[in-house]
Amino acid sequence: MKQHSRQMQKPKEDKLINSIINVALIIIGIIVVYPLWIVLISSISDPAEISSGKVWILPKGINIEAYKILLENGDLWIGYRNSLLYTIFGTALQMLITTPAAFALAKKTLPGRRWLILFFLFTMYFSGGLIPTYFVVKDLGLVNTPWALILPGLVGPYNLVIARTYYENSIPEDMYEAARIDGAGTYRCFVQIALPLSVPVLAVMILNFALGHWNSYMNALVYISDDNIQTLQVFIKRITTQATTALESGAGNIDITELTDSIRKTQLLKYAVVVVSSIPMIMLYPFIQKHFVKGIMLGSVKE
Amino acid sequence: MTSHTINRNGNSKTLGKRILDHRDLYLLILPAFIITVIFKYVPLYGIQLAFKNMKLGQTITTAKWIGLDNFQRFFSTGAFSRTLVNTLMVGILNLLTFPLPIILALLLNNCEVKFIKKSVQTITYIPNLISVAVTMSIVILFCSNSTGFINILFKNLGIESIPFMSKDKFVRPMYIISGIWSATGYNAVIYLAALSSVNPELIDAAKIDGCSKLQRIWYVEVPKIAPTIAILLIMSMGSFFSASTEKMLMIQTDLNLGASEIIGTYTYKIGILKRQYGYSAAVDLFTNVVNFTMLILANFISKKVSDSSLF
Repeated sequence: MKQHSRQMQKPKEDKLINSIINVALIIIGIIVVYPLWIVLISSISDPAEISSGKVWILPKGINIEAYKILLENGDLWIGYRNSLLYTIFGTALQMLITTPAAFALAKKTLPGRRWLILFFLFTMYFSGGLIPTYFVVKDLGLVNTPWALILPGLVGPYNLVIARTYYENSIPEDMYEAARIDGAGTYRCFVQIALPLSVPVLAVMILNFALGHWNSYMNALVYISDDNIQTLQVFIKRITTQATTALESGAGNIDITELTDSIRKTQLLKYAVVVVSSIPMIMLYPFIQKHFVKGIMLGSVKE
Repeated sequence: MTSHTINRNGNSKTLGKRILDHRDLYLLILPAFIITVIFKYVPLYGIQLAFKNMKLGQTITTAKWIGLDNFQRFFSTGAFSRTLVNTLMVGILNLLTFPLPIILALLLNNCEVKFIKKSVQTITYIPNLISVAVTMSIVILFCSNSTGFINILFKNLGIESIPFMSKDKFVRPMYIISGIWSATGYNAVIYLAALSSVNPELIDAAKIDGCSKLQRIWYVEVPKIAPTIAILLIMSMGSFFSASTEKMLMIQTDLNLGASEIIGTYTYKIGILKRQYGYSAAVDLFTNVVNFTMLILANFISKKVSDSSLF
C-alpha cells in the first residue's frame, strides 16, 4: 500500500520539477538576451530618450543616427573589410593544414604517432611567451603584415585533437580497407571517404577557427601598427576605451545635458558598432548549429 | 620464401620500412609540423631572454647574460605581489563559476518542452559568438559612470550613481559576470554532448525502479558526465593563472589599475610598449612554468582520484 502511494506521487513530483526547470530556463534565457536587446534597441533609439532612461523594453523615438555615424567612420569599415578577409583566408588555411594532419594522426599504425600527438599537444600548455614569439615573427619580417595574424596560429592544437579523435572514433578502418582494395591511395581515402564523413567536426572547426580570427585583437595590438591593415576589434577597442577614459577620469558625475556632441556621437557609435560587428558570426552560426552536438560529442570521446 | 611472406604481412617489418610505408601520411602532417616548429618551438629558444638584458641593436643570442636579475627585479618590486594577487583572484573567482555550465546542461537536458529547450540553448550560445572587445564594450555601455545604462536607471530610481569604471572593487565583478555571460552556454554544449550518450534504457530502468527525476539526474546523468567534468577542470587549472589580458585591457582605466593590472597586461606593457624584453620574458616564463606545473598536478590528481586524465 505504501509502495503504491509512492508510485502515485512520483508523477506529481516530476511535474513540479519540470515546471521548475522550465521557469529556470526561461529566466536564464531572458537574463542572457537582455544586454543584447538593450544594445539593439538603444542603437535605433533617440539618444535623448536613452539618456533619460526610457529605453529599457522597447526602442523609443526610432532614430538611425547611430548607423549614419557608423557609415561615416572610414576606419571602422577598413577594419571590417580586413577582419572579414583575415577570417575567411585564415580559416581556409587553418582547415587546409589542420584537417590532413588530424586524419593522418588518427591512423593507429602510424609509427611515432604518440610522439607526434604529444609534439602538438605540448604547444597548448607551454609556450615561449609574448616576447620570444614576437621576435620570431619579427625576424621573419612579418610584423605589420597580415601574415603576422595568420601564420603563428595556423595549427590549432585543440581542434587538431578534436578532429583526430573524431576520425579515430567514427570512421571504421574497414571502410578505408574496402577502398584500398579498389585501388584508392591514402589521399583518395582522405578526400573521398574521410572528408565527407566528417562534416560535423569540420563545421565545429570552421566555427572555432573563424571565431578565433574575427574576435582576436591582442595579436593585432602587438603586431600591427598600420591602420590600413588593422583589424576591426582594435578599432572597436579604440572607440570604446577612448571615450570612456576621457569621461571616467574627468569626474564622477557629468550632467548628461553637458555632454559634448562628440561624446554623444561616440556613445551612439558604440551601440551601432556592437550590433554591426556581431552580425557575421551570428549569421554563420545557424549553418553550424545542427552539427554542433554531434561534432563535439564524437570529437571529445576518448578512445 | 616463407620468411619473406611473414615480412610482408606480419609485424616483423623494420621501423624504417614501416615509416616508408606511411610516407603519404607523414606528408599530410608535414605542413602542420613545420608551422608548429617555426612558431611554437623556435620561440622556446627565446626564453633565454628571461636571463638576459637585451639592449638596442642586440639579438637574442648576443644579449648579455645577467642571471636571475630579471626575476629578482620582478619579485622585489610591488609589481609582483600586486599583479600576482590580481591574476590569482580573477583565476580563483573564475574557477568558482565552473559548476554553472553543468547546471545549465542538466537543465537543458531535462527540459521536456522542446521549444524552451531549443531557444534557450541557442540564446545562451550566442554570447560565445561575440568578441571579447564587443562583450567588454557592452559591459562599458552598461557600467559607464555617467552614460551607462545602469547608472541612468539608478538616476531614475533616485539611487546615487556608482562609478563602476573608476573603482578597483568593480573590476572583478565586471570581469567575472561578463565571463559567465560569454562562456556558460558554450561550455554547456560540451556537457550536453556527453549527456547525449546516456543510454535511454538506463533512464527507463531507473523510471521503472521508481526513481524521481531528481534522482535520475543525480544518480544516472551526473556520473555519466563526471569524466568530462574532470577533464574540463584539469584544463581550466592549466589556465587558472592566465586571466585574459584581452578582457582586462578593455576595462582597465587609470583609476582601477589597483585591481585590473594582471600579469598579462603588465607583460604587454613592459614588453611591447616599453620594450624591456628581458624583464617581460622573465615575467612570462614565470607564469608559464606555474601554469604548466598546475596542469601536471591537476592531471596527476585526477588520474589518481577518478581515472580520467588529459594525458
